[in-house]
Amino acid sequence: MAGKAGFLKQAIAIAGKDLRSELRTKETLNASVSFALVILLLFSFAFDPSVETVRDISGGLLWLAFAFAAVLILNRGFSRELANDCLDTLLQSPTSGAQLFLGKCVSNYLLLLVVEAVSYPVFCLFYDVRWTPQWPMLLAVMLLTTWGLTAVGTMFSAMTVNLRLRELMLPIMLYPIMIPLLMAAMQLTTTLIAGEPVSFQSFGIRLLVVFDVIFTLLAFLLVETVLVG
Amino acid sequence: MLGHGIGIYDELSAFENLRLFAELYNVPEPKKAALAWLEKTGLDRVRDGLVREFSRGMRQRLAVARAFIHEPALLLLDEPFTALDDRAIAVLQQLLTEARAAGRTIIMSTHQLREALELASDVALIDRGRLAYRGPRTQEMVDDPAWLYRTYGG
Repeated sequence: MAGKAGFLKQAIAIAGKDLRSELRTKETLNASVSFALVILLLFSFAFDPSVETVRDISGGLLWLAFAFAAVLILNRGFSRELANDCLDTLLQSPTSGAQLFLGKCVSNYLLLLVVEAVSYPVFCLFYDVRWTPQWPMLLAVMLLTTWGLTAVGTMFSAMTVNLRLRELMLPIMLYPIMIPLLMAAMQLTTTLIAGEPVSFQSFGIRLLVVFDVIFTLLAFLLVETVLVG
Repeated sequence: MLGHGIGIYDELSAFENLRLFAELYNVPEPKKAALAWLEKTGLDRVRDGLVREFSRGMRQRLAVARAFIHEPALLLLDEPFTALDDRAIAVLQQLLTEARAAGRTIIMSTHQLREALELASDVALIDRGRLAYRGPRTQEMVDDPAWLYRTYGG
């Protein structure tokens, strides 16, 4: 029990440090929110928001905007450790790769949720989306999808941190892996925004849960090798 | 370990940096330890100042505190006196003297022989990749650091 508490304590210390640094500068948060809003704005020019069919692709538009904006936050996850050789210093400490990963994952997750919380009302405004009675399930879909995106993205951020073209490599590696997660999230979100119910037993929700569990476990198992070799 | 990279975060305050590393190294009472090391390194008056606003000497002193905060049994120091101001050199020498007195092992690589020889018990001189001398430090070396180079250097 003490081991688990110690594990979480160090992971929380890493997450707290990242959030404190980010909230002090707001560099990545501002860039990511702005990027999400610009994408939503551009999509609103491309499609006539008054047409009923737009609501059929609303989930797709929303998750594409979130996925693009997420890369800015995920890229920064490990690259913020490069200044002053902080990554080496962290790896020399008793903090394990799994603790480092969990701390980074939690801070990235919270930052991404902030981006989504700011962008979603704007999306509703642009695309004339009304308040959905299915909001608890929509929230669950957002939480599950964002965790999957964060877990895989944080892992790939660790893999690409020492690459010169890491800003390019991360999305190239991330998006193909994210296809099943994003497809499920897009379909579920479109259904829920239309006001139709979705069961917790549905294939889409189960896919999100299974994706999150598998990739989170894989990341925990592999992150030490990725970081230390 | 204290290397060329100082391993501290520019966007955190001096206190936040030390408390973070105290927590990561499982130091009991990390807050208390951070405050104690800020005082030891003369940074207690700027404890809430962001590191990005610190002078180079202050950053180095904070890096020294970061390396010492968990009181390691073995200290690996790579050119620790480089770019230090006089005050930081004095702080580092004092801390190293205390660490040695406490029975800790210190391995230091440096080009600044005068500072290092005052602290060392054993000396190894590497000249063009070759181990030119290895043995105990003598008073002769302390009195005239160049003597080591003249006698054993190429």
